[in-house]
Amino acid sequence: MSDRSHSPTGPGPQHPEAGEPAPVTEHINIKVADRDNEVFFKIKRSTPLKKLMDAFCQRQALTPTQVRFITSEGQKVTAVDTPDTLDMEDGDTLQVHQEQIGGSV
Amino acid sequence: MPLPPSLKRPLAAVEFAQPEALPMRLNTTTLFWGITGLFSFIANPLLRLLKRRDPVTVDILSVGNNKRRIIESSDRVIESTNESSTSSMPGSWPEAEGHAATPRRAPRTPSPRSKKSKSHDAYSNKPPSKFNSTYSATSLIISPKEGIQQVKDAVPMVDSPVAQASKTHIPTANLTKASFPEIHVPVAHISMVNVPLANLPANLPVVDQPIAKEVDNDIEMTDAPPLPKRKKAVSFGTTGDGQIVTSRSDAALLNTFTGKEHSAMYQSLPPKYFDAAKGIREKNPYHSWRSPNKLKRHEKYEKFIDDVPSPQSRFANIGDKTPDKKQPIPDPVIQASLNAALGFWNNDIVDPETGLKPILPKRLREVKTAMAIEYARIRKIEELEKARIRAIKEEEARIEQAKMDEEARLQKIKDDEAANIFKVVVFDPPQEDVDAVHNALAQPKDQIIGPNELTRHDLGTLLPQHGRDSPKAWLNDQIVNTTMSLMMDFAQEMVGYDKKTSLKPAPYHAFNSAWFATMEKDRLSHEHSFSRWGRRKGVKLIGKDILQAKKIFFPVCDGGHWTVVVVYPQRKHIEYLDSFGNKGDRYTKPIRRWLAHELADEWFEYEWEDIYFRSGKQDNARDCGVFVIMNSWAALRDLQPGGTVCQRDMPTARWLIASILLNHGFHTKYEFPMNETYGTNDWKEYYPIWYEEGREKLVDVCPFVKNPNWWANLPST
Repeated sequence: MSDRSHSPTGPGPQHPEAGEPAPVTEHINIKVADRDNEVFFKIKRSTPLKKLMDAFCQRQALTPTQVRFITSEGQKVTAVDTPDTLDMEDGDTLQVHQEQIGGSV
Repeated sequence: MPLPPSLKRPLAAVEFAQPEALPMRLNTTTLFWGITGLFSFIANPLLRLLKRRDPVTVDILSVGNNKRRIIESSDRVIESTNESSTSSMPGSWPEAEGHAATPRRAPRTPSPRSKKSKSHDAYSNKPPSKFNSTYSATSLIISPKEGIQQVKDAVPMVDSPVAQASKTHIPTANLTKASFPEIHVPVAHISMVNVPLANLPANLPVVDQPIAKEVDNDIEMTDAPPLPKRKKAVSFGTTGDGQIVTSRSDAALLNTFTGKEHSAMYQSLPPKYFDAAKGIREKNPYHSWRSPNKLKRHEKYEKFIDDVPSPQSRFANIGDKTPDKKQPIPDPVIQASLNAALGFWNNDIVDPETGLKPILPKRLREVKTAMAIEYARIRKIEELEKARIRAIKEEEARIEQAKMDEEARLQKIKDDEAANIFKVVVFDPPQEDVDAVHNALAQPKDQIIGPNELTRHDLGTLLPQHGRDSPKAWLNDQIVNTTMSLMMDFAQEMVGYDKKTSLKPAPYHAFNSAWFATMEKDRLSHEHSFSRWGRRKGVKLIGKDILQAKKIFFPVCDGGHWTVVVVYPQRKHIEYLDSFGNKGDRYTKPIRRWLAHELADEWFEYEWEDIYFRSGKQDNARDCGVFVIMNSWAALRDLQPGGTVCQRDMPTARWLIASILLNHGFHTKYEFPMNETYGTNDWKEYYPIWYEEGREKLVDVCPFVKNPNWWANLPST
């Protein structure tokens, strides 16, 4: 059972920690690294990362369903995730991976 | 004449030695023809060696009533001499009286073949035997000529038992080897024709009495009747001290003595020439046929060979005495000796005086009895040994059987486990799940239909639809990662691990397939960055805490091929499951590097073992992703992956995975027991096994297996 599948879809402070005093900085800098390019974003901690991913896909002319954004902690970013839910830190990198498909060599 | 007490014992009348194995005359021959006298000292040790292995068996018969002395070997005539009339009586040593040691060959005058030579023995109504002559067997001659010389040189005739025995006509069966210290022929092989003491008269003439002279006049030396032409061969041996002894073989005689094979061997030998009378040894005349001189020499040799009568002919002649020739009435002693000697050949002869049969048959019986006893003893020992070996083998077989039983028991356990997972793999999908899958497949391409933003497009890689999805049916990372994540979640639940609250390291975890891609991308330059992959809550696989985890899965998509690396930190195994059966050093090494980085001083390279080849094999180009999921499922439950999942399960497994995904997990319908006591840990001995029975069941249960192109028949939108 996936926790994420059962997690609430709304943005905002969902974790118990999120209810604690607000982080020091409202915004964090996130680097989105493609294989060839690096794009930097500054985003609010509570903003869904969907906006960031859409912006990146639009900029790089990618289909959102064909790429996966992997956090520095190895999690795939879903549309409902925010930097808070993913415990992202300032200066973190989102690795952009293409769809992996395999059946044989 | 007083006899030494040791000689007073009545002796066996006739003793003979068992024919020995043939000596290696061919070798000796080849050796000797090429050796001159100058180099003979080199050959002597070799010959002595040969001699030691090949004791010449000498049967000695001596003619008692004339001056002939015939020395017989058991398998050939060693020497035949005609003593002069001045020589001593048989049994004595001519040398002892100061005569020349070298026996002289009496000249022979050819005579027409006597018809009487074919007649029966005058003193016996038996047909003539080989030794149908009147010679006495009371004397002894121990060795071939050189052997005699040896004895002569070594043992003073006055004192030695040989001398005593010879002078007194005493049989010398009780002579020991010590009596012939220099004889190189083993005494055990010397046989003598002896007469019991009881048969000997009291006034037995001594050696010096010229009895031989009397008999000598009565025996006419004639030439041997011409024998049928035979290939004659002269072979020679040695007495062990390098002296050459020529011997001439006769095929007929050999047949009599030692059998046909000996004869055949002798006849195949090249002839040798040794003039015993002159003591000259010539070269082998056969060496060069084409040379006229050599040919002449050969003719001379042939002549010599023809001149030498065969011993058989001599024997035949000796016995060819008729009353017309005024044969003297034989001495009863000699007659007894003759009878005894004839008894050597005919055991029906009865001693006329004693009424006793020759002892030879009895002796033979004794020998045979002794041999039978010995053989029985040996056979018993052999049987005991066989029984012992049999018992050992039975014990080994019992142990082997026990081992096999144990293996069968373990195999049965594993089969049962496999049957368990087949209950999951080979499933009869509930109708609502079939409907749910069909419903999901009917959605638009980008519609999210499952957990983790699973879209219809992702599901189409699992269950491709005709006209909508790629017919390659290659799984994408969403399917693999999501299914693995759901599997791990369920496993963690089953073992009571709450990933949301627990701060302990997760017992089971599957990393995202991007792990390897990132590792590859970064070229391992930022190993520390991978620490963050295990740092987050619900994973906590960082540092030495990794060793507390049970199984960590690393699905790998590399080059369009899905494989999975499973790390068993507690067992310190790193398993690479590849449905193509490849070895995955490329994928285990980065994990070793990651482990080395995390474990730091707890990392010992040699402790961690790689495991390969436990996966079942795919026979197509699309199912490796499904194999990864199902292998991981089996490995998660400590089942043998290759034994529980096979190629034929793949259609069902695809449907099963789809159902699990649309079920948002394994709950309720697809639960599986997390019993890690399953199976044994002898991982390497357990290789993939295909379960045919399970496959048969699968065909019955799963409707999709029957149609391999089932995805083409799915409703397309």
